[in-house]
Amino acid sequence: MNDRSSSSTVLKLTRRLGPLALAAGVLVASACSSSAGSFGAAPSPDPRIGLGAGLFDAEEAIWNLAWVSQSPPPESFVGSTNSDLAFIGDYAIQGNYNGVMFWDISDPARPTIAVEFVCPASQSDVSVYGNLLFVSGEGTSGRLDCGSEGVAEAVSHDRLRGIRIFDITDVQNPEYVANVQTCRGSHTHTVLKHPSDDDNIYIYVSGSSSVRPAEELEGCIAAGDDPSSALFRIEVIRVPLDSPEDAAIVSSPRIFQGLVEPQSHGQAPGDLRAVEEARARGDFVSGVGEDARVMSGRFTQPQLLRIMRERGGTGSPTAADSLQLHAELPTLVEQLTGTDDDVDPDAPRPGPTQCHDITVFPGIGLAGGACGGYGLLLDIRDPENPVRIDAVADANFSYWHSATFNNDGSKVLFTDEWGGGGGPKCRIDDPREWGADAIFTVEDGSMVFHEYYKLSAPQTSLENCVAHNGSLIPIPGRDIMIQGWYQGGISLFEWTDPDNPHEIAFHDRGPVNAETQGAGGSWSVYWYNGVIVNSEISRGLDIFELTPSAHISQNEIDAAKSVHLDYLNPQGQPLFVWPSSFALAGAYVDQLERSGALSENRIATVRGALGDADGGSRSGLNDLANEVAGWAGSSNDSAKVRMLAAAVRDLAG
Amino acid sequence: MNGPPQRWCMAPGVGARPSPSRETGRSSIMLPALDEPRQHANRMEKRSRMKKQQTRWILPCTFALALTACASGQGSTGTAPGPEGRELERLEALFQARVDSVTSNVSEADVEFMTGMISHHAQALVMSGLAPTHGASPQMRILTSRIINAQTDEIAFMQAWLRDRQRHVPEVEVDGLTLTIDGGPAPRMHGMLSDAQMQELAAARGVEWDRVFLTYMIQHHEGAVAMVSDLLSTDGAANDDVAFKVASDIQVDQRTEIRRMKLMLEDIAGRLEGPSSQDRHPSP
Repeated sequence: MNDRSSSSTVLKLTRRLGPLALAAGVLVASACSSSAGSFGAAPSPDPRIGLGAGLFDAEEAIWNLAWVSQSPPPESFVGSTNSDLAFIGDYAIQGNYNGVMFWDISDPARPTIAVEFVCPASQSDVSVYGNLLFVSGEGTSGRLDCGSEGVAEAVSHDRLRGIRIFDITDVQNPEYVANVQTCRGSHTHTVLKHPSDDDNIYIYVSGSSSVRPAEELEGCIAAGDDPSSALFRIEVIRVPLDSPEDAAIVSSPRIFQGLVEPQSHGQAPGDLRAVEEARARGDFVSGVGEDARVMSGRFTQPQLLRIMRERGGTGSPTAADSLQLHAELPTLVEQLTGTDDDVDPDAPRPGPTQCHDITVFPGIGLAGGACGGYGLLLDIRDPENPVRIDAVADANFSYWHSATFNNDGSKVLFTDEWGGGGGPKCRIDDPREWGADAIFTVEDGSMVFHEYYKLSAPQTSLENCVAHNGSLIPIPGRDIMIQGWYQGGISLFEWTDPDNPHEIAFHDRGPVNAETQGAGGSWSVYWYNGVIVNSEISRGLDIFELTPSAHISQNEIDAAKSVHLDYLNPQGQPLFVWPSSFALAGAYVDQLERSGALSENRIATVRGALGDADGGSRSGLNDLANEVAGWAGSSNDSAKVRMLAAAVRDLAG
Repeated sequence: MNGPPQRWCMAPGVGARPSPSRETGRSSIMLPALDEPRQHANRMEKRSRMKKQQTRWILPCTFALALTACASGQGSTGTAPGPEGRELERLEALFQARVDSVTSNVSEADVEFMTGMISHHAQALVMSGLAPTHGASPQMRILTSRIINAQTDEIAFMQAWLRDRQRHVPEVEVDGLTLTIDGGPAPRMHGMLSDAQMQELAAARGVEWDRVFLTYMIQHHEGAVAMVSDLLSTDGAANDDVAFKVASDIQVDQRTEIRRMKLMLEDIAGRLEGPSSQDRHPSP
């Protein structure tokens, strides 16, 4: 390993020591911990267990991350829930149930509040595009006029449930330009910028709450069996960039149509065991693999009697009759269950009634929809008419909450916000498969389940904890993401191997309140232009940076920092493209060393040559690139070796 | 707790961590208004004393040593995150005052909803608790375990919501098939099973239990969905963000679970009825 300046030492800190001591602790960790022994292993015992409580002075545990800053909310927003984040330029835009705030993070060590804009609505999910800011309103107390007094009447024309649009050309003075009201309000929303449409952007609205009465918003119909029902659909808003005041709903795609049965990717371990035991006993099992089901005796007994009678037998069915039934079973089951083709298009729609969140990835033309009991894969090349191309369901998933693709779109990760985020679902006896992430590969448009990932550190019953929002970190050649787990803290993990997701960094605080479950924790945490920004529900805005360790080298961190975004809406996933740099080539070298896919000699050769060329002459780099490319065939990671060769060739210019 | 291990340094004045005690619960302390700084200050002192006792290890000894050995000349790389303690204490007092202000401004509709939903959820615990002894299938064992886990937590959350607002907190007791709320029979909320329906469930076994359970839990969940719809169509209700979130989450979760249970029920019905049944369309 080329980089040993790790800070994988665990700090257990308290703010009571004051900022100076904290700074020294972090400093010491990076400067002096070279004798700390093994860097790869996760700390044991897990220092997140038993952290003391406190709002601004809870005990903390941190591993492979370093504090950059932590900023309590400005006064207008103290005591009100911080929600999601969006980013543009030097600003982190943080939603809050009481409005929106703009943090200037140009100096991430000293974020300053640029704008406190009070305009209450839950959840105040935020997005940004150009000079426009979009804010979700779902709760019943949001007002069109941004007033704080709420709305007392159940039916009121003062109520805002939907999308607010602001012009932020002058950041200091956001101008409220339009509202788009929707039947179920906007729990979350997703901004879609189509690569070939520069005149409009699209907003996919996910609203999971109750349908508003028609007296409040015309055309809202709650009845599920009405063809115009506000259920079973999402809303698509088109925003003309020249005239955002003309933003309006342009379609309500029924992306759940015909979604009759879950394509269950995974039976519970108990179910699979029951199937195996039944097979061992010689019981009747229909289907194969994940679809296998033990057939009830109430179904099989009459069938056995029928077979016996058909051969003229009496008394008890014989082993031959059983064999016959085994042979007939697939046909009988098909008659029983029918196929998707049998679905009556006029039958009441049985699918989920809404999505919680949709992540669009325009760079690959796909979206991941987390919709009630399903995870959907959508084709979004026609933004007004997204088309469902696959759906998955899972007995272990309670509520499909959000999706994140890896950078080449070959994998997608869905989260299960079991309990809605208010429950303490990371206790030691909560199942590891519940309230977790589920990792799928995308193969010819189908999603194939691999493994779950859940925060490994058990939390107390005072801490609401479940899988929540996060984003990829642009470390080239690997799938690494940072994710918020409410009061479980933040967890950075790798899912390059979809069967073996594992944690490589974390930060956690003790409970907000030592006596009762208080509101707090990470709503969302995202990588933005070199730093990790965490929206803490009660404690404000945290900024961290990665520190090098056995898991992530300095080159990989530098390569990640070389990716610059002008803006980021995490639900509109950007395609990362790495500019040519020595760090990029070095990152691939470090990865090939870590995996053992190149010999020590070859690692030394390429590292030496890159070192000579960095700041010196690059004339030899084309030859080096050719030499590296020649190693691909004999390496067990030839794809990565070719990526290295390409990175070296780019450096040669 | 015994003394900390040798390799940890103790911070000055830090004692053993007491187990959480009810006497220190904050619900017994009322913060009146924002403009009474003296009271806030007293309270902050009290809170900070409490917290000091809860603070355990501060820094490992090796850190303290390294700090002397290595800190010189490196000052620029460290970053002091966040403001000073005094400013944080002021914000914490403000935080607490705001939380208290929210909890003192309560809609009766919200209180009724929480109170009723606690009884409603409690019956789901009784129903689901039968699964292990009534021959439920593995799939049903997962479903019922999740219902028990989810609704137990939600009951606790709703009880805390009421307690924080100084309202009566219904006490739930489950003894076999008997559910008592505050020592008496549970009020019959939307969709709750009648005694006869509960007896029918208790008498069923195996796949028949699965079928009866799903049938009645769908009815039960649909009742909860209706309770939320009623709440949201009541003037003045659910303006409390927490109440709105609890109600919305219950509605969303249970709607999703209704869908799942209908598919499971259909699966069972198909098997029970045999191949003559071709009608596989679920009801809405």
